[in-house]
Amino acid sequence: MTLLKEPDLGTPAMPGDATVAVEIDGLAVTVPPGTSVLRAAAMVGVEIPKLCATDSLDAFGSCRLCLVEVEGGKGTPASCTTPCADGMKVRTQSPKLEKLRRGVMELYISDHPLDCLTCSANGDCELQDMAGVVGLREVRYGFEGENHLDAPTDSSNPYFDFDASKCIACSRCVRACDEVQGTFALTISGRGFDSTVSAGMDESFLASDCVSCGACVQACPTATLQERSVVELGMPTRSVLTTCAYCGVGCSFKAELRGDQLVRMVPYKDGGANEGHSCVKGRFAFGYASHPDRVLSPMVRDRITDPWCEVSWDEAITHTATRLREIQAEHGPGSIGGITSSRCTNEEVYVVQKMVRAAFGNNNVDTCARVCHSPTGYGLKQTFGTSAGTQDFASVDAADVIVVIGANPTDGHPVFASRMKRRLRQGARLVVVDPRRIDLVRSPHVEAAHHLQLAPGTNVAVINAMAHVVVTEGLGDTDFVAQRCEGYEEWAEFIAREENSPEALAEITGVPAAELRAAARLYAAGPNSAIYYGLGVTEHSQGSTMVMGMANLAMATGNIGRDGVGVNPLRGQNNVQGSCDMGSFPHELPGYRHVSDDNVRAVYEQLWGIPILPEPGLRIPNMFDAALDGTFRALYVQGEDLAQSDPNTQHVTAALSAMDLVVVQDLFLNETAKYAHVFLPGTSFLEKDGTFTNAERRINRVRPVMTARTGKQEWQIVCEVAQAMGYPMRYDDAAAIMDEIALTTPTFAGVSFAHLDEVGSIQWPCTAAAPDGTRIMHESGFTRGKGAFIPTAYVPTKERSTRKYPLILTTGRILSQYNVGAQTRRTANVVWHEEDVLEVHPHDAEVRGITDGDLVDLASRVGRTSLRARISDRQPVGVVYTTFHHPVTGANVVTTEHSDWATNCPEYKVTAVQVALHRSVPAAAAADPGAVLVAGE
Amino acid sequence: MIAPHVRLANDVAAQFAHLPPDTAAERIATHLRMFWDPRMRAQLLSTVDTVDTVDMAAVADGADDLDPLAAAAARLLRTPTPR
Repeated sequence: MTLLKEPDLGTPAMPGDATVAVEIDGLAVTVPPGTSVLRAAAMVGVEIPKLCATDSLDAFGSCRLCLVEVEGGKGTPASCTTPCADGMKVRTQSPKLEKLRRGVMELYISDHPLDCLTCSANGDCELQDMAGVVGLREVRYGFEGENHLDAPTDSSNPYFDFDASKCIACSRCVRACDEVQGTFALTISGRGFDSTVSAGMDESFLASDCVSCGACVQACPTATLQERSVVELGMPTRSVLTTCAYCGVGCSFKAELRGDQLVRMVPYKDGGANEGHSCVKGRFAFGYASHPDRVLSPMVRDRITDPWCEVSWDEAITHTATRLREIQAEHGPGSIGGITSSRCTNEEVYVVQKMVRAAFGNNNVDTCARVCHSPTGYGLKQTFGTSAGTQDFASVDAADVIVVIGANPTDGHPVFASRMKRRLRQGARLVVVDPRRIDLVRSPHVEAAHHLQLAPGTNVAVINAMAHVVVTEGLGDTDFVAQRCEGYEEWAEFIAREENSPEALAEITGVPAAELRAAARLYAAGPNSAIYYGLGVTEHSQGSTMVMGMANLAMATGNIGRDGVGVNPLRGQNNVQGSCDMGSFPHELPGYRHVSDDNVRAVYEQLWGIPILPEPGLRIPNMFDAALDGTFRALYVQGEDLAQSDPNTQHVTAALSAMDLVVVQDLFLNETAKYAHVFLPGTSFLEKDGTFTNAERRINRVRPVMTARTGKQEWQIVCEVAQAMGYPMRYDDAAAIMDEIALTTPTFAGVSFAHLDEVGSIQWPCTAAAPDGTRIMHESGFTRGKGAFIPTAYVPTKERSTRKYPLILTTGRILSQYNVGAQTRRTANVVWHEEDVLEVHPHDAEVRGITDGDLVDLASRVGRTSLRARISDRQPVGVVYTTFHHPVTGANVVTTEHSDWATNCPEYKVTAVQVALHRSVPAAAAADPGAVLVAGE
Repeated sequence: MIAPHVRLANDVAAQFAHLPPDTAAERIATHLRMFWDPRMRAQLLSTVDTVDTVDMAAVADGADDLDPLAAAAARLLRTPTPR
């Protein structure tokens, strides 16, 4: 598939029906009102020369190249800024127009380096193209006049250069930063001849607010903003359409190659999730796939203290299967289990859960979603009937009120955040519910109407108080409730109790009652109000309760089942949704169907030829507990770094150490591999063939850009282990696995690789009734029939601050890094985040004698570590904050055993800690945060 | 330190404590059947057996930490799983 250059119609598409008929060079075309002449012309194949126009940006009308003549009109208007009018007749070519365009190009070229043959953009330069299109043959002004040819190059960004000498001041980069990304980091400084693109306040790109999303690079028509990889490797010659492997937005990218060498990743304009936009991770941070740390050969060892020994695939697979069977023979069939990965494809995940159920003969399968969005699975299943967000991302374009709870989209889901910010700039109102003042609270052209800065651990109290306002002030949608829901009376009686009022809860939540009431009224008034949430909701002792609380609020106000509304989880990893869909939970078969359902089990029992246990298996934390009890002895870990990402590291490593066999299937020797006996090297997303499902239930193809560097696809490895254990599990290719998923899972019934290749992407449910998928769920009825109101009593977390641990630690992530950093730490993204730091409020810092940059000890009752302090008032007094991207600081050394009551999702967001200036550390160690990391106290 | 199954059972029980005791016990038991591995339920039953049959002052396996509501729910697990 070659899509190096996508069509560019010059200006954005206009909404609405095509009702305006025009004639362009004698060709008739009918377009929606507001469509530019430039776009209308492109739609009938008439390409008007242009430089400042591109269809991802609003028309600007600065380059004066797209001039046209309109019959009956005066002058030569720019076609990009001229809307079509019914009956309009346009001429795009005439001697006069040609002369004008050549004159414009002469001026541009008179101040441009004439180094086309050696320029990195040679062959992909719109200035070069336009010079040819207008027939430029001479530059009458010469090249000796005042010019910008000596303008400096800014190479501060690790991924792209800004060569000011090649800039034509078309403003496309500035407008891309404003309109597409919404960061407003670039501007045109100076006027007239002195006009230059400037990052920040005349800073370098790196020092400015630039988030390195690449939108400016993509928009640049010349080599002014150019990927360094293109400079070094040359212009790509072919592309493969695939899907990003970072966050749950699931952006579509063109992997552009020169021969077999990946040169760059370019966001795909027709990508359903990203529509041509990207972030610094997906756009640039793919170098980990070829990092020398990657392990490419299988390895085994008898004891975790032994050195690794490289073996053949056959030896590794036979050894793994033999040991698994030996352990089962000695300790019982339930003594082993497996964990699937949200970084792997649906097909890879499906075969792991199948291996556990069919070859292992138990339900001891879980997934890393256990530690992030398992409460979403529980809460939305209980209330709506299925475990998925209700909307697509585009739905936010119709939202009037956006409530962001426990999420930091500009850092965690940046491409969706850009879309959300665009809607906010159009006038939608914003409510942020977060202990920390995230960027969305106040950033260029965005300001939250309300920031409910609640105390960590009091989410349920806040959502109950909002619902209390809706019910007691009569702000609900009674018709929606009456027609679509059940359980309202019991819930309404509960929520209307005085104990749930904002006034009664203000002391607990820290949110002023008047502010909360105003936010609740705003949400109820809508008319379209949407909730977006993240791990700040789920990673609490009442994570599942909070998810149900949000669902209750949405149903009570009728904010379900149409554009602009809904309850939407922002998934952390690329395939959290998919890994959950694929039956990775120990109580559910694919499609969220409980293992106790005889009819569902029968489908798989018949196809797989084995009995399936009707009882749930162990969840990840239960596996650890059982390992320490001695009843759980072997674990197959697909792409999750348990020893870094799971809470209470000492407990995790003790459990791993207690097992007889730990098998790690991963790209790198991660922290968990230190406790492994078998290492099975995995494939990067550039090598995989399969599908990812993003946070909006969108199934996207992941196509192999290169052959598997390990010689095997990961699903093949899993199948071979199962076969070596005596269970026949064979597929011709990944497409055949998806065919089995579709055959057995009603919500995937219409999904196949061929169908995906045909339509691009599909949002499940994909059924006979919805053959191309479902944008918005629960439109006419809930999956479970009627939406269920469920009372959500607030139960305080057991994790409390004490005299010894008086502060509350909460955790999050940063834009440039991803999860435990295994990928992004192996890219130039470390420029933006060399180490995890502890944000401390100025008051808390002052009373402890801590200044910015000091090395501090962070201690909880389960462990302590050290890291540098950053003084910040983003979080209130008494709350400290850090990220978990670097193993050296080991943030999870201090997190505790507390977890969500329903799902065991760890309570990462609330840990009582003490922070103190690190005084006793030797000078050498003081220079190395984490060097004093100690597990347990 | 409190045993994991007791801590988890208490966490579940706390979420249903606002309901009438019999209703709460039934809902807790349903949750345990739906989401707990049988060996964990067996551990809980064993703890409840201790509660029901042994002098609590003499036990040290966490039985005395078990929330009465969780214990009531656990007793319902003695009946076969409704299918």
